[in-house]
Amino acid sequence: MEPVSYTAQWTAAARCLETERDSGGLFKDPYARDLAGPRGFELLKKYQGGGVSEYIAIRTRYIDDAVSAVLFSDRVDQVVLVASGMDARCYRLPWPEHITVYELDHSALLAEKHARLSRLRANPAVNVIEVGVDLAQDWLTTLCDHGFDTDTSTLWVVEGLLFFLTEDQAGILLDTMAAASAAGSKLAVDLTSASLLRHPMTQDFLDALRADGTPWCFGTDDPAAFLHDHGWSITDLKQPGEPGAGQGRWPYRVHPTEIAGVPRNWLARATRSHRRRTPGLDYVPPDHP
Amino acid sequence: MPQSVTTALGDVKNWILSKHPERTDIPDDLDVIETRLVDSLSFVEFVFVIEQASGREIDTESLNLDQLRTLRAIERSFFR
Repeated sequence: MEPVSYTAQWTAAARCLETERDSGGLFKDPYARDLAGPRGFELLKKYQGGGVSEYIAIRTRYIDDAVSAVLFSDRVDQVVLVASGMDARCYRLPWPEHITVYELDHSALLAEKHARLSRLRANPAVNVIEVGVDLAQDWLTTLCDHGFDTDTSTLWVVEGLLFFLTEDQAGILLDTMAAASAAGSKLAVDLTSASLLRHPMTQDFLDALRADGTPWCFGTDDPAAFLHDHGWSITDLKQPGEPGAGQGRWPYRVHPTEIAGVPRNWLARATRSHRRRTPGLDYVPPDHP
Repeated sequence: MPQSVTTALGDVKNWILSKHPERTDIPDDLDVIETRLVDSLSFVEFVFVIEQASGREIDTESLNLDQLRTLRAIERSFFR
């Protein structure tokens, strides 16, 4: 698998720990332990500290809540899990009957996840279509070839991905999603901050990620502006520890956004801006995943 | 060490201990960053506590982490 695919196991390991808490867990992912091997727990231990495990748990619950809120209150018929990794939401969340979920990721990772879940006799709770792609290539055409409809409202889930991209790549991804989104489409996403990438205390963590072939490249201190520039209007923005984003579970003080220089992460929900770009006209595939 | 410095540095030590109830003491030469008693996300509050205790503003942009690694280094850098 690609190096970045191992980070999906890391995420699954963090979800496993959260699931196996004695009390106060934010969610239950009964498949996480089986999806975390072979490297997830090793990476979790290697990168412990700095709230990484807590962040993944809080982010998972935030996205779970966002998915449920959109599906049961908005008119959305399709969901795309972009770089879905070892995400088991299709197997563990309740889904309305009319929904189709497209899981986008490297083919090898999707096949591995599928095989593991099959061995567990896990059945998806929704119509799932796995779409093997390289997000550095023209993934939208492949997605459409699998039945994705650009004239139907969509919920896009982009979890734990954007920091692995460059700013240009992240912008192009969001542009492409916006261009492929009918009116009423939604986005649930997380981002890190530019201040986190610059901070002297995070450099050892970032160096280790770089050495493992999975560098964090992009963060922004103004997520609303970044998303706006790429076709999405923020409807909810949280830092971990705030109400609705793991309040009581975040072991750190939450610093107001106006305090500059604080390493932080962002959890956001957005809706497609009114301006709709024409698919294909301004799409340029990024050079790297 | 004058009593006031000892007390002020004690505020810093007590803050670290409050975050790690499993510990009973912080030796003056213990690297609190290497041991992850202070990490990237608690760092902002850590600096704030030192500022409050020392009465000195700390410019994090030009900060050398070695000034903050141990209670002894903190005392030398900000309490003299």
